[in-house]
Amino acid sequence: MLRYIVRRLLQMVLAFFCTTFIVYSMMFATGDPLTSLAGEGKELNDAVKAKLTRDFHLDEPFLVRYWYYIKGLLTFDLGDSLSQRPIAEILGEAWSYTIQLAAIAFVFVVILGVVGGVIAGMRRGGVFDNVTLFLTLVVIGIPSFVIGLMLSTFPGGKWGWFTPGYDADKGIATLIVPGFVLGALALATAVRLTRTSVAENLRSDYVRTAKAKGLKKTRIIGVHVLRNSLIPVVTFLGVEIGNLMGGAIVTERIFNIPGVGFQLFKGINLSDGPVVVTIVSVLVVVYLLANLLVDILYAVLDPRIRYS
Amino acid sequence: MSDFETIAASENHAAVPGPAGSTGAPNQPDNTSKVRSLAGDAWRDLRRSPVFIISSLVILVMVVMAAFPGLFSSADPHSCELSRSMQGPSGDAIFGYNLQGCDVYARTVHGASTSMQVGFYSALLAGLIAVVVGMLAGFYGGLLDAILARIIDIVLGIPLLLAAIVALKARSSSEDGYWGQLLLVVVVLSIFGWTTAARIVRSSVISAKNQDYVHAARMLGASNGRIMLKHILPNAMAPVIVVMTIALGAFITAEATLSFLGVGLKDPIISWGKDISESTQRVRESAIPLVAPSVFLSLTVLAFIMLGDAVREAFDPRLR
Repeated sequence: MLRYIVRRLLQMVLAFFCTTFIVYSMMFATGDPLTSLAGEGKELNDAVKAKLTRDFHLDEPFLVRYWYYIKGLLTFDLGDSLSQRPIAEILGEAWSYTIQLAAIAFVFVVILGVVGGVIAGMRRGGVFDNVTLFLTLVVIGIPSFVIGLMLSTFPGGKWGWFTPGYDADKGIATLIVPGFVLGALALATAVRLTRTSVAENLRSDYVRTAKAKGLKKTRIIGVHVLRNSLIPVVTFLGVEIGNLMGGAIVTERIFNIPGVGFQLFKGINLSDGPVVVTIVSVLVVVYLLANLLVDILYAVLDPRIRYS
Repeated sequence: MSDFETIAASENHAAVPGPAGSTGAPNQPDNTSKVRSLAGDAWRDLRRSPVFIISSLVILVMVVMAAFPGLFSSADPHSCELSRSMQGPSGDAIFGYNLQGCDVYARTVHGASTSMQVGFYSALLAGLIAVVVGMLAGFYGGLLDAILARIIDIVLGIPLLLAAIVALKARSSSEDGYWGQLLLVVVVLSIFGWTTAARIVRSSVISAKNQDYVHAARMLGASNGRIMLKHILPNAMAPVIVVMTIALGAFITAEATLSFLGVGLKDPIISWGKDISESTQRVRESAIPLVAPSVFLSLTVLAFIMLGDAVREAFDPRLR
């Protein structure tokens, strides 16, 4: 187990350097780095130019610049936005909203996804199965920003069923619908994955053996089938944590939630290069960490992986 | 965002049509005496599947709309008069006018061309990268395979939307013109969207390269290149096409999402995502400028994903 974790950690270090390098070089891929940072067609005064050059070490070669950027990321020294605000401070304020939002989405995905998937998988071909299959396909097919906009415009805005945006007074309750929208795609995928995997495992030899031994159905499903069926689902959920972070840009923009995604969106609109690069880099690191965590969890769930 | 990887992840467990799909391997004589191929069976199922028929029809309509927008709307989507801003539906414009006073119906019809082009070009380019990388990795194996597999892992580890935001933020501007902008979005989407397909190509190449017909071709003195192109590739294509159909839908979604966020396509290109984003400012007055492009966008994406799903299911021998 320890060997597995160490190997995984080493791979993660490599992935960290590669992905951050890709993100960083994309930012400065073309033209004048100052334009890349501050956006097209903006007249910069000399003070800002000097500051940007100093902060991003633009007078040094690319690799040195990358090195400073990595050092900043690892020591949480994230620099300032174009409007002179420390990015760490912006992120510090925004994190709690995004985490709450992602947590709500995650609860939806795990509970509804696994329960729905198990029921559908047990009754493969039944009415519930066919209805979920169709509904999940529709959810996968409709872009999540369209789902979000429709919900916030009609039931939220016009019909007044819920507050169509974040309201600090009402707190976390106003995050439930956005959380659902954020998790909708992952939920649909989780249902389909669990369903396929449960349906497959139900036909396997070990289930027949368990039945032959006279085990109760609840134990067969709850312990034997579920543990085996959840392996692909857990992997998917780990990848999904990262996608939830990315998807938060859309959800937070639609529902006006002052989270990380909203700050990223603001950064995009204000052509604030430092904010965009830093937030994306931090999100990518979160994503990598989530994947690492899941891989370890994966090994706990499935002994076959641990020893290979 | 209906991310390509996410959708593909849900398909991982259900088999993609294997190399047998197009070789016409005899399987399951069924109740008739005639031996049918898996592809034949699949096609017979597909012709009767309502999902397949409806999604094909939707795609057909969208393709025609993209190619000949004039058939659907004679109004100029670029002629906008502020005096008509937010006017409701009328005989001239069945969906009314948006905030800038542009004909919503005309803009929606013309938006099909953008989405279809982005989707097709990205799927083609991503499919091409996937086939080249997957083929090389699967065929040669060894060190090359190890390196390419690592590259696939790393690219797979970068969330598409985030990467595209950074890449486009740094580069896109209205000054690039129509083709410049379109090309940029297509390249960015393909660079981050080829990995799942590459894995699939790699595994089908590995299973195909030890088949007898490959050994036979080698005995006859065929070169590696010939074996790859003439013998293995045709047999590895079926699963790629299915995955790329689903990916096409995902690429359309990605472009719309990026344009919605303001980093994708800019004026003068008409993009559903951009129009949806603009409509939200005044949605309380009229929801049609929001609903019209949203419905078209969702229908298109849904059609591609359902088509891919139906084909994949028809080719899955385990469901027979």
